[in-house]
This record gives sequence, structure tokens and C-alpha cells, in this order.
Amino acid sequence: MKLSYEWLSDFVDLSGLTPQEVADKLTMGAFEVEEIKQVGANLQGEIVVGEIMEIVPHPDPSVTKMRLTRTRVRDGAAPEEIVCGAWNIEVGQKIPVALPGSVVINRTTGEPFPIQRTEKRGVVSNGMLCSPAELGIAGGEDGILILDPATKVGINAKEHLGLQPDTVLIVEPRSNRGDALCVLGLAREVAALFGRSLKAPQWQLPAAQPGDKVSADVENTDDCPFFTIRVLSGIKIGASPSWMVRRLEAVGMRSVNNVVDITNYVMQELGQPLHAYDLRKVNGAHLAVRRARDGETLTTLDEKKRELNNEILVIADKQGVVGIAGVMGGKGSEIADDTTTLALEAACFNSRRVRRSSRLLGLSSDSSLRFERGVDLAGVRQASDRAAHLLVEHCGAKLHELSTAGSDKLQPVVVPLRLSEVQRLTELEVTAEEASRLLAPLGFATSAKHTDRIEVSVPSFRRRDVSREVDLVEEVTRLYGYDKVPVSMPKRTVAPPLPDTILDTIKEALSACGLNEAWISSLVSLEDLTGRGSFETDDSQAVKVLNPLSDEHQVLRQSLLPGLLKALAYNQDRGMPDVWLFETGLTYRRLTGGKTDRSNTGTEETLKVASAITGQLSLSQLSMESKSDKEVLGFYQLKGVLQNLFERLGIAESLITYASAADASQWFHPSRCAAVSFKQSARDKESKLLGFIAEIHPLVGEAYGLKKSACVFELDVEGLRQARQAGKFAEIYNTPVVSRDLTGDVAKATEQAALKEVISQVGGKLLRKVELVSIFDLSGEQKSLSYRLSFQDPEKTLTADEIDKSMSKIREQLTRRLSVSFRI
Amino acid sequence: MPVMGLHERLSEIQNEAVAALSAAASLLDLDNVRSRYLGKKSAIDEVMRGLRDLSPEERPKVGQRANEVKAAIEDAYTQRRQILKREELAVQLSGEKIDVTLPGVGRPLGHIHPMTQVTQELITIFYGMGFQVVEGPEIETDYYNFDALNTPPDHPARDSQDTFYADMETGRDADGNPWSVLLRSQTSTVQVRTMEKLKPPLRVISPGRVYRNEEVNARKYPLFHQVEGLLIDRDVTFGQLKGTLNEFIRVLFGKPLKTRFRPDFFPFTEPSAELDVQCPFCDPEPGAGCRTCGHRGWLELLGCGMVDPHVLASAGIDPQEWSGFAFGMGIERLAMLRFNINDIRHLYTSDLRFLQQF
Repeated sequence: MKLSYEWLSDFVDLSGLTPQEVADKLTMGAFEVEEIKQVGANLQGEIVVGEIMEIVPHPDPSVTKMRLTRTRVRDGAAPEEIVCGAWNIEVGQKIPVALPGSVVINRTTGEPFPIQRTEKRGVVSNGMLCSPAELGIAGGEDGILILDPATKVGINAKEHLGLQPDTVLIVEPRSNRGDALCVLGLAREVAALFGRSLKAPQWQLPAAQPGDKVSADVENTDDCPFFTIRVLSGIKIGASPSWMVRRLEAVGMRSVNNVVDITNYVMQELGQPLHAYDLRKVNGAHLAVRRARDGETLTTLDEKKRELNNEILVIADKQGVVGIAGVMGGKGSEIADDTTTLALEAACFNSRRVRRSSRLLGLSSDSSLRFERGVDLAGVRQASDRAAHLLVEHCGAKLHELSTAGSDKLQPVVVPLRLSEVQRLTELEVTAEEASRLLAPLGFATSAKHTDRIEVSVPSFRRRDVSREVDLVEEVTRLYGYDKVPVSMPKRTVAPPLPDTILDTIKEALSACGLNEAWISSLVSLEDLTGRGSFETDDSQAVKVLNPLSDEHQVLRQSLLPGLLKALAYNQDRGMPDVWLFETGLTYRRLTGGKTDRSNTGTEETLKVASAITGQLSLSQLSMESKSDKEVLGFYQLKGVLQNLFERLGIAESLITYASAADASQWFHPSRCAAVSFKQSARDKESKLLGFIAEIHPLVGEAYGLKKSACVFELDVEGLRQARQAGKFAEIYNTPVVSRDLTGDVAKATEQAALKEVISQVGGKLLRKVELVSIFDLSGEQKSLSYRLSFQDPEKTLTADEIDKSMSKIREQLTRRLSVSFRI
Repeated sequence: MPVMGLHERLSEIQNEAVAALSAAASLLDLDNVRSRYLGKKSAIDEVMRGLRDLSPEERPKVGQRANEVKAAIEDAYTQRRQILKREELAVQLSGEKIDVTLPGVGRPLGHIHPMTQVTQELITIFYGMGFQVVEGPEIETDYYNFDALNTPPDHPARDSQDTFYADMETGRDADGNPWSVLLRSQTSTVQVRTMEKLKPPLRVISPGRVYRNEEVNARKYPLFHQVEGLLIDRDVTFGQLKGTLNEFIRVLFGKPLKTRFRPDFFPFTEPSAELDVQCPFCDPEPGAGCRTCGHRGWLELLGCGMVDPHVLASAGIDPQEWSGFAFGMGIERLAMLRFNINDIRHLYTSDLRFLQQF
């Protein structure tokens, strides 16, 4: 909120302080001042009220845009000749005049504008008639500011118009401190923070006149604990006093008329929103607070017709709704220029109810903002009185009796505060006297029963945020100064368990393989569940957002792939065809039959690591390799990455299987997809699924706008963690290793892993290593595979005989089991 | 020939041969010279053949001398050969010049996301002060996101305009309290979940993803990341909170910066504070004011406070025996400060031109 420094000084003595000092103290006292702004012009020199005695054309006939005035600027003195270009002036008007030597504001640039005695086409102008803009006043379109005819000539116009410069502090509102959304509330804080006393507002209300009473009624005191209506008659609608206009302008409110301004003024000053109804438009001399009935409507002050329902709290007369309680009044009962009698409403509405109305109508106001944060029940009468006092003083109002409904009586709330508790939580040693002295300006009355304990009675306006001892500990600490709390370190530090670093390891391994890490939204669109319509799927496991922000963020992802595919397309569309990405993150699903209660959500979150690559897939970015290198399928490129990842994680390649899986997922190319599984040990029969590696189905690729095929993998991180093996040393032998090559032809459909498995099985203990070294497609249905077999006996040098025996056994089994033929 | 003449002749041959070898211009030349002086029908060969004409006393002397000359010639040959070989190799190598400015072969390294880098730093710093990492679910009940954190049912933060709710069946628990399922709006959810699982004393941090129903702009994204910290022990004080966070700032920015703890309000801590740190990016000195800190000289970094007794009690911890502090900060903000990133959306667009900068 905006706080006028000048207004603040009504309530607390600011002598010896600067706005910056006050702002700093507020900032360090829980009310952050975001900005300090100067408002109002820094007007200098003599600016007086003048009277136009005569207006004549400029003596130079070629000057048509200016006229010459003779303006009296001092009582009893001769008029001065002043040239003026404005056309709204008439003889006899009172206007502000800037005399030579004064400084006003250039109305187009806002810069200081010095006034000099100048000659304008043969006429000496002895000053300037001022427009509102030239005096730093809002409003006033083109033209001179016309003053009240009763204004005395020659008086200081700056004082008359309240044109002293002011400073505005922009204070961040606090959600739990509705009481501080007004000048008085912040004045309490300033007083407390500087240890000064609060100047309570004082006024004298004339006696109320009998009759002309509007009855007040409340349907439900939960919605509105206290509702008051006061009739004021004999009102003369007009302009507000200029000091009030200046103050309202300083806090960002435009002056409307004296009545509306007064309601706004009191709201800004005391934090109590008020509303004035033109009594002519109130039917049946009755105003009630009730829920709207379904089907009722109201055109609000902003001229929008609102559909109401039973959730919305309204003010109604005998005929219908006249206002949305705490939010906005109706257009129909608005104060008009000819209003003479009004009904002034001051009430305390339930903050939750006002928020509900405000949300349902999509309408918020200065009033709803305050009610939502809570207004002071015990302050309602005072605010009504304050407004009545101003209406009497400035609108000629006559006062009638207050009608009330509900009650503003409150039970006292007393909270004990142990000073030992302050010390236990903050290490501050505060005495009972100090604590009482600190709390007093905030309205907390204290009584010391004991040296360690004071009884604190909580003022009505602080009941929302202070109800427990710890709340008082905070108040005392805050007022004492957080900066005075001595700095120390926690005691009894022990070493925590070793951190889980598997994700770090995965990220290092994958980035070392050339994949870039992406962080992608876990909220995706519904279309992403079906690969953007590439296939049909059952979305019963999807967790959807009830109130999504947009179509792009409708549902929690079930796979990292949609996000990665979008990222591939995004880069490819921006001239980066070669995109290698990975992500680690959660996927989410609804558990079938999952129990939901206070601590169970019936959902499961699974940590995954996924990668997607597309584009030119050569090892190098340069065309230095042979063509065949460049044509390596993306699948194998990515599989190489996966193998490196397993290596880095300490997962033995021999325990991993890649099984062709045509129906793994509709996301994948049915012939280029493998299920990746692991066994805990070589003896295990069962293997556990880790995830998949695949080429993306061309229809999916098309749906995501990919120009080239993409390959992906997605693995379960928990599975990877289980598959990890602690490194164990195996003896190294120095006996010679003998290598033999084995080349055989086999049906194209036979997977090389089948051959490798046979070789390993029958090769015997001496076969240490089997490597595939080349693969050629032959004409027809055959392909040729070459393996390099390494034999070693840890004890002795192998004989050719032993190896030959092994090799022929391998050949024989390959032929028998897989129909492998050998050309030599 | 007389003996003396033979000796002289041998010296002559040696001189001649050594000179010729030294003059050889190529390996081929050199080999020719060598065979001319050491091969059959060479001058030495002639001398050797003349040995039989000598007396038995003279023969060994001249023979020995001849062998010496042969060895000297071999030596000269070897030396010259090495020189010539090196010269020839040099010529060959000079013809094998490559363009050293061509780029290297192999897939360029990938990059680790700035969010990962900053998160790892945070974990490392707090690990050093005894905090262990714990995790909590992103899909949460309103109990852990709000009620257990002392946020009453009518609090504005619970509004669907601020929080995403999930389409899970909702209802009432055995005690008749209504509950609903939501995407957590803060990592503070981990506070009570942790206190239920681990008994005090405890020190944990929990980095994680949170969600808020906010329009996307340069500073806001519907999901972002926070790291929550929680310490519960006997006699934990606000001063220890200040000390711990001051240490964190010192290590994070690599220099001691002034901090200030400003009173603030969070439902789950009391007293609560906002920690501001003197802006380290200002020139000429921290806090002088710059664009990064909006010319305020201070950066708002995190919220913190003493754990509210209500929160401790929710987790079954006696607030009179134990006390604690908690803090939470946005990781995006730290990453954006650290790397001078001006728009949060860069972090989630996966643009290679962005990713490859880190």
C-alpha cells in the first residue's frame, strides 16, 4: 500500500526523522518499503490566488492564440498584465498565479519551470496563470485551475491548495496483517519501532438528530458479525477540501466528490471500508446483509451486470440487492450530484465470505482486499463516527442515529509471555519492563505478575495473528531487532550418511557421451498421452490437474519422452538438426485401487532417466569418415551411450539383456525396439525390466514434427540402482592369450546374441572373451558374422590342440543349434 | 711394400675413407662408400692380402692395425648413417604437415543443466554442515502442504488460483476432516513428513519440484524448484539459524557478504524472517546498487524462521523439549543470479544454444 508521510505525521511525531529512516525501520520491522516516491510539485517562490479583472485581445493582431489579462494578485494593489493562452478563463474568476521568480512545473515535460517577467510580442507578462498540471495536481485537462469564488485574493495558493510536497512510501502488504493496511496501522508500527507514542485521532461528533433511521439487519452473523447504518441528511455534494484531495492523490486515489472521498479517506486512514448509499434509492428504509438468491443480479459501480448466487454475500433493501457486501456497491444507489441524504454503511464482513464473493465475481476492490485480510470488529463504530464527523464538517451533513445489527463486543484475550521462552528461542535477554515497553505502542496492554512472566492482552485488531506465546516472542524479537539476535552455530554436529549420488553419476556419464541435460515441464498436454494422436491409449492411470493453467499443462507426464521429443523438434526447427538430449525426472501414475487418505495420495512417482537423439549421427561433425560410418543407425549410437552408462554405474554387461520387443509401446518402431533387463547375478533365472531403447515410431515422429528419425531410451533409476554391483577385483594372469577368428554365415533373422551365447556356453573355461568384429550382409537371406575368441589358461601356455578342440566344438554347436555354416 | 709403408698406407686409407663417408650425401652414397672401403677389392682388402708377404713378427702388428682402421671406418659409417637417416626423416616429416587448426574428432561433450549444477552446490554446502538429503512426493495431500504447516482452510494460498489440484477422489478422513490431493506448492511439505519418519535431533535438506498456478512470464513458471532445510534439536535458537545461513551465503558466493534478517510472515515458522544478502554483483563494491538488485543493494534470497510449535506438534514432537529452524529458497532464482540468466523460461525450453553454455 501507499503511505503518505505527511498523513502519517497526524498519528506519530516524526520530528527529527527522514522518510528514508522511517522506511528503513519499517523494512527491518516486517513492513518492507519497496520504493520511496516524491509526490506533489516542488513549487518555489510566490504563487498566489489572483482575480481576473479584465481580458482583452493581445495588442499584436497577429497573435491569436493568446490573450492579455489584467489580474489582481494583491489585495488593494493594481492589476498586473499577464498573458494567457487558455480559453476557460472569464473575468471575475479566482485563479492561481505564479509570480516572477517562482518555479512551477512544465506541463509537458514535468521538469521545473521558472517564471520570469518576459516580453511576449510587445507585452510584458508579469507572471503566469496556472493550470492544475503546472501545480502538480492531477485532473484538470487543458485550462487554468478555477478556484472557489470565495477564495481571498493574494493568499498563498500553495497553502490554500495543500500543495506541500509529500513523500509516499510504497509498503508491501502483509497477508496476516490486515490491521496494517491503513495509515493508523502503520503509524502504530512506526511508533513502536521508534519507541514513540501514538497520537490517537480525536474528534467531536455533534448530537444525533432523531428520525430518518434506516433499520439494519443481518441474516447470519457468521457472514457478518456487525453491521451499521447511519443516515446523514442535508448533504451538499461538491468538491473535497484540497488537503483531502492531495492526500488521496498521494495514495493513488482519484477525487470523485466530497462524500465518496470521505469514505475513501477513512478507509485509507483507519482501514475500515465504508459505503454510502443515496437514500432515495434505498427502498423501505431497510438494509440487510444476506446471501444473494440464485438468479438475482446487480449492476455494480463499474457498470457491469453481475449474476449472483447463494455463495455471494450482498446488501439488500426491501426490493433487492443494492451492493456486494465488502466488494462493491451497486450503480443504482450511487451518490449523485443531487444526493442530499445518504445511508453510510460500516460493517465487519467475514473475510472468507468476501474472498469467495470476490473470486466468484472476478471482482476485487480496495474494500475487498481489506475485508479479505480482516478488519477490526471493534473499529467499525469508530470509522463510522470518523466519516460522520468529516461529512458534518465538509458536506454540511446532519447526523442521525446509528442503526446496528449483530454485535461488536469482544471477549478480552490475554496471552501469557515467559521471558525465558524469548531467551530459549532467540538467546535474547529481555526484561519484563522492556517487553512491556516494546509492545505498548502496538496496543498490547501488559501486566507483570512475575519477573519472568507478563500477561499480555491482545488488542482487537491483532487477534488474527497473535493468539499464542510464540506469536508474542516474535513481536518482542521483531521490535527488539532481529539484527541484535546474537549469531551462533548449531551444536552437536554429526556426519550425515553418505549422500545418494546415482543421479550425479548418471548425469556425468551421459554428458560425457555427448548428451545435453534438459529440465522439462512435468505437466504436459492431454495429447501427449497418445503421442499427439498417433495411437489410442487408456488414460486411466493419468493424474490430471483439475484447474490447469493451459492445455499445455493439463496432466502429469507418464513418460519423459513427450517432453524430449518436443525439445528435439524445437531445436531442429531453429536450425539445429543434431540434437542429443537427456533428462532425469519423475513420472506419475494413479495406482489402481490405491488408497487415498490424509497422507496417501493414491499415486506413484517413479524416477526415470531418458534420452532422445536425432539428426546427423556420425561420430564426428566433419565428413572425415567413410560413408558407412555416417550411416550407423541412431539406435546403435544410443545403445553405445547406454553401454557406457552401465559401465560407469558398475553394471556388468553380461547381466544386461536386450530383447527385441515388437509390442513394447506404441511410441516405438515395432522392429527397432528392445526391452532392456538385468539380472542381479549370472545365476539368476529371472531378469528385471529396466526400460526400453528404441527408434521412435515414424507416426509419432511425424506428430511431433521431427524431420528425421529419433532414437530414445527410458530407464527406471531405481532399477539401475539395484543392478549396480560393488567392484570386485579379479586376478590378472600373465600366461599368453591366444586369439582365434571365427567367421560363419547365418540367417539374417538370427540375432548375434544367440551366436555369442552358444560360443560362450560351449567355449569352456579357457575361453575368456568373445568379441564381434565384423558383420556383412550377404546376398539372399544370409549374413556373415566374424568373432574374435580369446583363450587363456591361468596356469600354463595353451597348446594349439586344446584350442582346436574348443573351436571345433563351438563350430559344431553353432551349426547344430543355429544352422551356422562355415565357408572354411 | 715395406712395413712402414703399409702402416702409412693404412692411415691414408682411414683418412680417405672417413673423409669420403663424411661427404656422403645420401644413405645410398654412404653404403657405396662403405663397400668401396670395406668390401672386396677395397684398399684394405689389398693390404690384408699383402699380409702373407710379411714376416711372422710384422704380420700381427699390421693386421691389428688394419682391424683398427676397419673399425674406425665402421664407426664413421655408423655416425654418418645416423645423421643422414635423421636428415632424411626430417625431410619426410616436413612433408607430412597437418592443419592443426582443424577441429578434433569425436562427439563433443554434453552439458549439465545449470539447475543441476546449482542444486549440487547447495547440497554440498549443507552436507558440510551436517544436513542430509531427504525427499518427499510432488503429489501431496492438502494436509502436508497446508494443515500440518499451520495454514488454515481459509488461507488464500489454498485457493485454486494459486495451487493446482489433482483429479483424485477426495473425501473425508476417519475424523471427518476433508482432504484433497494437490501438486505441492512448496517443499516445506517435507518438513512434517520427515519429522514423522526421523526422530530428532535431525538435520535435513530437501531439494525438489513445486507447482503454482501462475501465468508464465520472465520470472514465473508454473513449476519451479525449492530447497527446504530443517534442523530440530534441543536448544536450537534463532541465532543458530542466522549463523547457519550466514555460513551458507559465505560459501555460496565465495566471499563474506553482509546479510540482514528482515521480519516476515510464514504460517509454519515463528519468528519468521526474509534473508537479504548484500548484492555481490554491484560495482564497485557489494551493495552499491546495480541492475541485478534493482538498485536496492540487497538481494532477497530466502525465507526462514523458527519452526512453529504447531508444526512440531503436528509431527508428534514436543515443542517445549525440542525447537528447530527451517528455511526455503527458490533454486531457479539462485541459478539465474549465478549465471546471469534473465528469463526463467530459458531453463525449461531445452534450447541447445542455452544448454551448451553451461
